[in-house]
Amino acid sequence: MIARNDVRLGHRSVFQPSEPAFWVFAAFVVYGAVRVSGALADLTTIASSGWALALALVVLYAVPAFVLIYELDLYEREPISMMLGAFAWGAFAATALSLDAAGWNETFAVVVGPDAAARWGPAVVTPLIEEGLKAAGLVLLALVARDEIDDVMDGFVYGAVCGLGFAMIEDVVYFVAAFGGSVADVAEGFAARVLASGLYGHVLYTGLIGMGIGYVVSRREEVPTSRRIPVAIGLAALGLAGHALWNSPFLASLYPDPPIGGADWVRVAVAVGVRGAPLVLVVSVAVTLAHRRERRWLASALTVAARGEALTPEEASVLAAPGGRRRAVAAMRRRAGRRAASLLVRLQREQITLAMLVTHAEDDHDPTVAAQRSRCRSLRLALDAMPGVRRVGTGGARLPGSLVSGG
Amino acid sequence: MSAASDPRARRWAPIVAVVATIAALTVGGRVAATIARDAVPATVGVDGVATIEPPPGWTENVEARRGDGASQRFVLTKGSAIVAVTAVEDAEVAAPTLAARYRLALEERAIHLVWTRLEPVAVGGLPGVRFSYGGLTSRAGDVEGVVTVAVSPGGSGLILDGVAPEGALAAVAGDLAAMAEGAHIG
Repeated sequence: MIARNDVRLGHRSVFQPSEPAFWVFAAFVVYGAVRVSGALADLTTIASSGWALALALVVLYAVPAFVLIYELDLYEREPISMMLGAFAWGAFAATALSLDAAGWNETFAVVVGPDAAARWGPAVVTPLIEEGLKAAGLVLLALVARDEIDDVMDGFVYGAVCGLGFAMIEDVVYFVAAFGGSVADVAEGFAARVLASGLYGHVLYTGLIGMGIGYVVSRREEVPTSRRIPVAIGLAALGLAGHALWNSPFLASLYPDPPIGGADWVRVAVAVGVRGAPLVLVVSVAVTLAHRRERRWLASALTVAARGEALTPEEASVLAAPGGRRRAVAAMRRRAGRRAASLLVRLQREQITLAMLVTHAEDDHDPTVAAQRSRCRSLRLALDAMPGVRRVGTGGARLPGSLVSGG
Repeated sequence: MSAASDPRARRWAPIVAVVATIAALTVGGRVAATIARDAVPATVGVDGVATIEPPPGWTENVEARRGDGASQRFVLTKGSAIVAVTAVEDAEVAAPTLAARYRLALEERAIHLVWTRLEPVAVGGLPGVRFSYGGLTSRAGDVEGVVTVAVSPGGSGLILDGVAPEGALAAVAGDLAAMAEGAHIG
């Protein structure tokens, strides 16, 4: 049995009572939870069955989306408590505070007139308020655990989860209040807002803003502030522009006139695709670039950390290669079975954590690094003791290169 | 120790900035709406036909709105002064004729009424006419008022009737002139 050491550099919980930012963050989330719960409870008076269905459908969508976002960070998965913190901010604090910010809609209506405000308010005012409030939560989260956001990709993950929380509550309200609340109306709302629009919405807008925050926080030592801030502003502007485009009356003519039925749904899907495609493209490029950088950084970290039995240079090259981990695990499963493959997955994760710890530590004698090396060695011993394992090693590290991928 | 180098100040500064941003987005919205309501009153009238922008202090009596397919009437008040704004969708006649018809309608409602001759005046960039009146009404007693009328080339018309108790019209004369000058017709 291998003991688990919970002292891990760079893996902090959101619960940091010694950080003032934690209490500010928590206070807003609690306020939002109370306010949003009240608003959702009011919706039950419209249609309790529709409300329950709306909640069930949204959860059905949110859970896989949450897992997908969590898996996006390939090498250093974020702590679940931090992820749930970002989600709670989006779901409760940001939604409740957005309700409190309705005065700006009224101001816009007074300035441009009620007709223009009805058409353009959702595109001009709403993105600034909603994204501003979600970004405020992400900044607080970064202040709670500064070292947890150590790459642009981390910023995207927290931003996307925050946007997912916001979208979840907004969708429940829409399904019941805007689409009528009956079971059929809620199902139509789900099709229109979730199935047809997929992940185009808040997940992407706030993901981009999170990337900006991640850039500012994680590049402090490499890039001067005068360069980091404009990049963050640019990414935030892209998120805002995507939100504004989505809410604007542009391309509204692509949608069929209600009532929508049958083949009209194809037109809805096309319209949604045309409106959402630019943002999806931008986010895909940004996430791909962030992944590449993360991979380069990991390869460099693995090279530095590769020493001795805990992590060999050959294993480091397997871990750094795209698909290398997966291929080595598949080869292990074929040769030594599922339990061995599962143990190899664990060893690989611990080796990657070792690489992360080495980059954070001042030297290799750091006690956390030493403990992590020891953990990796213990895992290797346990793995080597399993029948059929020694032939292929942990990704081929102890055998000639031709066997690295199990070939 | 300066604020910049004080670790406590450095720790709190970003938190204060975030809370200030949240306050600006929430409480700030309410404050801005209140200021905007006072500073930029809502446009009154029918979009595409005739609208006016009342100066600060005028409030619309929504219950007094009247209309049919041809015209819509809105009533604004400020103290004891009243402005009746009528947007006529298809006036079919020129401004002097529309003014004469309106004067006849006023006469019918008054116990006694005197009025001045029509004089030319610019209304929202269009040529219009204006006349003043004074008299005794059964509902408001002795009153004085000024009526401004204009018709766009497209046939949309605006009638602006400002009325106040005798001696009180001068206090709002500037507002009435501003409403006429800033009107949008057609």
